[in-house]
Amino acid sequence: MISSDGIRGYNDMIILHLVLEKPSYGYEISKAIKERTEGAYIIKETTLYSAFTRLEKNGCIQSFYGNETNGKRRTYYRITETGREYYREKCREWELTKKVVEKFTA
Amino acid sequence: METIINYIENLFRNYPDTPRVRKAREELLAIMEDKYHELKSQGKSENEAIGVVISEFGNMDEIALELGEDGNTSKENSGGYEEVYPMNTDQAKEFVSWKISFGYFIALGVALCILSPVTACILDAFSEAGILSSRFTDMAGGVALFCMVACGVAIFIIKGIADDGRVEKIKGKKISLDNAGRDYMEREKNAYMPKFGAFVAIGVGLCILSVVPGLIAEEVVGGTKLFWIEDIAGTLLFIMVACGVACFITAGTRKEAYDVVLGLKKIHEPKKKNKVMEMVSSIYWLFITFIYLAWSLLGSAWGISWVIWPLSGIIFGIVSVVVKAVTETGR
Repeated sequence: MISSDGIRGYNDMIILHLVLEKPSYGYEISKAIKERTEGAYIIKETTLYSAFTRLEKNGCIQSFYGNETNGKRRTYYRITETGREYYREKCREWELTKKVVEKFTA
Repeated sequence: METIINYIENLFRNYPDTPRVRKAREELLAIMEDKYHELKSQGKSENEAIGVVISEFGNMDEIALELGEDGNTSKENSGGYEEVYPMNTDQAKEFVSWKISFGYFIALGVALCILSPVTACILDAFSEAGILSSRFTDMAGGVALFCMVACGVAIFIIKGIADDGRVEKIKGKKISLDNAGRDYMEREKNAYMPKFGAFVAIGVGLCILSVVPGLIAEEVVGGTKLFWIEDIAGTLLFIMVACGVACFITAGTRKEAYDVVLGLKKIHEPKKKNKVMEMVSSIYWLFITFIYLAWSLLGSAWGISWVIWPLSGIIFGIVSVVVKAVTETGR
């Protein structure tokens, strides 16, 4: 399990990566994170929700209502051009961060 | 599932029932519900499913910002999160050139306002020299003054409204520029800084020297038949101040543009509003205006009643200090 403090700065990047593939909704994203990291990172619901609202406010993602399934209308998110640019920027930042941290790894 | 709904209801009990809070509650509940059903379908027991869902919920502090709480404490809890607005090189270049042209317009508007009395002064000189009748010059000078102020204010309003959307997007956010853009803008800024210094120096010089023509004219033509030249020389004061201020504004906005795209400065950073102060000040000024009008009209005291404005300005300063002290220690 990873500490939520350590990964905080990259939640946005993780979410953007997933909605870059296809528009998605809250639980699907949370599940994808858990599955792809093989349970090493389980994102908290509040972390996920605050990231959604922040990203939407910054124009990185757009929310829309999906089709009704089992009487429920889900909020889906899709990435915007701003979001793509921000994602690329975060990837570059990560490459640099990784190099820096690696210098101090035993 | 009942337990989860109750859990959420309890957490949200102390929040006001606003659309944002409702949306957060619904969205969070939707994710939890999905997770709960999935766990159940994997053969987990009711208690196990609830346990997992609640343990993975997180911390309300994280969404306090979204719920519209005062950002003071919650900001720190969510890791000092700053709102970031990503920008690429082209967007940044475009922003800087827009900001520079915006600066020219504002400088023009301010210059028009400062220059507005110039026509009246010159015409006044002509009337004193006996070339034009004072009835004509007073009227024409007044009209010119108001026209110039109106043009200046119109520029502020039109530019302000036309560019509102652009500013709104990045208001209070820290701009995060890509690396190429950052290098480019740092070079641009460094290249501009000597010019910035020169503009500020010229601006200050013009403002200080602006009184000189009037003083010289007074010395040379004061008391002679050509005393009206003093008025003309006096208009140089307005012209020099207008040029000086235009220097400050154009240089200042250009430097600000670089600082904004480099993330050193945020545009229109929202100030923490003091609600009590806002209320007190609106009542205060309404009250002062009422006294001013009542005194002037009932007492026919238009000649002297203006003193109420500087006086109430000073009193307002004292009042605002007191109000701030009272409201902020109470927190």
